[in-house]
Amino acid sequence: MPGCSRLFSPCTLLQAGGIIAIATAIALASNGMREKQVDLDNQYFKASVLADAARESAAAEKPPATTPIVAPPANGGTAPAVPAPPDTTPSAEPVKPVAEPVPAEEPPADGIQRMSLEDCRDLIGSPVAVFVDARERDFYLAGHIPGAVHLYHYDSAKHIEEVRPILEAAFMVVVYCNGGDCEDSINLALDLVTSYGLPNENVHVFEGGMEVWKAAGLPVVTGESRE
Amino acid sequence: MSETAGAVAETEGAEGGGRPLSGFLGKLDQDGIATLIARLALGGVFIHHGWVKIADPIEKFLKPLKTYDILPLEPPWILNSIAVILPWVELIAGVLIVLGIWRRASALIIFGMLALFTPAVIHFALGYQAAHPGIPFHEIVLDCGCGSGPVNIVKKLAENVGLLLLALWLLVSRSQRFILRPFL
Repeated sequence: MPGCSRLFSPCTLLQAGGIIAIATAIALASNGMREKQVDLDNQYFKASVLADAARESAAAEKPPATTPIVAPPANGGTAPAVPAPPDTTPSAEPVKPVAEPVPAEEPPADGIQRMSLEDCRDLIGSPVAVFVDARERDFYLAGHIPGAVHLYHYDSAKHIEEVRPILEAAFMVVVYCNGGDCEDSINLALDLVTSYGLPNENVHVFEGGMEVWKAAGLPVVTGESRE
Repeated sequence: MSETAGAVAETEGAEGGGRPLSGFLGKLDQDGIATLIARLALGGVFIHHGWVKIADPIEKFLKPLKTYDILPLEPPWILNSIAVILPWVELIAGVLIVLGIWRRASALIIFGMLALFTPAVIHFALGYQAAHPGIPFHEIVLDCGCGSGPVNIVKKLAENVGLLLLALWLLVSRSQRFILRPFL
């Protein structure tokens, strides 16, 4: 093609634009046709969005740092500071050591309640609780918590109606994924509350996930079977 | 594929033509073998990386892409669209490079992607190291969403530098041998 002999000629840039345009058209068409498609308008990472918003809000509310006002020393600042002698005056009451105030544990920005391994272990076989496995199907089949239903976070819109009766019948819905850095459980829990209408007080997340569950030697069910 | 003489293509002003390279690069470019190897290597890697991501765009690309923390999460279509489109760009550019069609434009796209994502991989690894202070940088293993799965950071950076050099070579090479001529 004449004119493409220079590195950044209009011809080369036009061809590059053409490749990107063709790739975009094929990508969007194939995504629309496939079973496991990416919903372009869906926010898959609600937990991160909420955490970012909370961080920004906290930064905006934080008062600006002020320089502490220190009174000048009486001697004009030339003499070294002399520590005050210890107060040896007997007091009526012994001085009690003051404990450092323990900051209260802040609730997560996403508003979803967390559950510990011990709490989850006690729920095995409970008729009022149901576990939800937010991982890919292959992981679910390889091993899941007894009684867990499968609802892959990135495909939940398609399959929510299949499990809705089970979720709505339970008083406690506990969502988990692999654990570690996995946020799919929190994101799915947020979807259950905000998109699929489950009561917030019913939905919980087991952050330890399958990693912690397996490490504790707790029972695991393989295949499609829930029990 | 047909084999054409480099000198003929140069006089036609075709893609990759123009003034021949001088010195060592000129000798390297003379028989077209170096360019052919570069095309097969770079194109092959990007066909593989693109295909892996197309097969599973969510697990292999969207989730790793999000962990880079360099793209805005809102509005969601930005991240989601990149996760859908970029693997196809990789695949098509890779195929075109292997075939020798629009080679320079394809190499330019791949060079641009590598130039953007390599610093992002370093940024990602440094962030990981800050969160896990006990781990030395050269021992970090991460899934950068490149299509090769979890990989050692040093190996990944060395691979990216190699791919950048191959893409650069395909940008400057004048060779027109071993290509699909009718599409030039």
